[in-house]
Amino acid sequence: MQKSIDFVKDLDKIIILAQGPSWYQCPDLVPGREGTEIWGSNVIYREHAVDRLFFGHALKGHFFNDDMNFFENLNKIGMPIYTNGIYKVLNNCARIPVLEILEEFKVGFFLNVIAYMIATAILQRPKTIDMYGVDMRPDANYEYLINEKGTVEFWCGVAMGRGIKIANTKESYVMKIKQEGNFPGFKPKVPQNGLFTLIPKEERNVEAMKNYVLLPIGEEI
Amino acid sequence: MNKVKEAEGAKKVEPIKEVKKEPKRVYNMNMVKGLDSIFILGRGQSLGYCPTKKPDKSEFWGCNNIYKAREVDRLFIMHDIYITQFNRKAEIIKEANEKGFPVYTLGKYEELKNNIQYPMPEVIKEFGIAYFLTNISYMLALAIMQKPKKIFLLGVDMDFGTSNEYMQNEKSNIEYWLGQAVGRGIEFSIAKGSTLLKRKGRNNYYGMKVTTEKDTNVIHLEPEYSYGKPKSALKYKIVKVRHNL
Repeated sequence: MQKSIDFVKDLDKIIILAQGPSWYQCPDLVPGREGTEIWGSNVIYREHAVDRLFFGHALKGHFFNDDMNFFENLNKIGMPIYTNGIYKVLNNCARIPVLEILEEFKVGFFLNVIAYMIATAILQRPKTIDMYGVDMRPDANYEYLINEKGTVEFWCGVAMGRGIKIANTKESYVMKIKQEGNFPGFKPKVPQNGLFTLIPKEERNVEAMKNYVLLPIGEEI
Repeated sequence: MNKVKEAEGAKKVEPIKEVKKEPKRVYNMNMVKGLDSIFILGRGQSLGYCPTKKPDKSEFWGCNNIYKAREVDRLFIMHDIYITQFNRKAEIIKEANEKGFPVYTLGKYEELKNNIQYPMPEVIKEFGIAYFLTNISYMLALAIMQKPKKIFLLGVDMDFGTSNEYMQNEKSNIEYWLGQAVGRGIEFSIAKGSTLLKRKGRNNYYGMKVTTEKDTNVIHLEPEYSYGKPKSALKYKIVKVRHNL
């Protein structure tokens, strides 16, 4: 069932589903299980159904990289989408409640979309926050690990300080310094299907790409 | 004649000057709940911001040999003390005993006069997690349990220039415990210059543009849009063009 754009307080569980390699361990959405919601980040809707979707950064890049029918697909699925900007082309879109978070916690430390998601989840006072694909692996890029692991762990700390249980996959490095699991039953992601796939392979390099421009079809609103 | 004078002079006894002794400081061996503030002192440069005179209803908690820079109420040495002594601070046991403050360690050391074993089982039970990668994380966890109104971190700088391991895991470990403090309603203050809760070269609001008002220093948050354009179309196409960029 499609969720309303308003958040639901006091759920049993909010699952935060991100794009790290342990994403596939996330359980499926079960209709009628009202006490649990799955909140996805970025283009994870391509691999797994979610109740709500969050984007921290500007959106147009996803047309190029991930999904050439990006906005159309989001509107077709119809789930509530939370962003920092305002996108009139999206039918069911609202702003991430950054101001409400700042009001509540008096701390501004959001270095990635997961930080916004955990903070927003804490405001809804669930009993548990489970995380899948929030792996913060050292083999991801250096900047990512140095700073973003900290922002995720900070908000996990806030949640735990408020009595919310946090669970994560064995493979995740969050609140750990080594991987404990070994990705049993690993599932790869669906291939990217952005506009760049229309560019001949031999031209997919920094110089040749300068010859391509992204143009709107129809009016920009 | 001279000899007589010398002899008379020798008889004069100088009055003994009374040497004023500093009263021996008495340390509280028990933890104190509900303080106004606990100052956690590390060895980074921003330790210089720490006041020399301790505010009322406050305690200074230091790690390793920080007592050389500030009078501390409690000292934390979470590495093996013999290794610390051998490698870096030969006098640490002697000096800690002379000072007389409580010294928290993971093990128990007969050589330390006021040695208190870090209450690990209680801390793990309280927080439901054992996640301690630095001295500071142990100190923060124990400080949070004392429910002070505010925790100050001074000299806890986690410089961007220090080693990878330090930055990758230890910084985030301390940030985790700061989150615990926030979750439990404890305020904290980080010294200017510390990299905690900061990202190098970028702002703290992912996907947002942060501008600071000149006169008031108040910040404004605006969404960042692709190519600076807030408007979007429902669909885009990619077109090859000829230009000389």
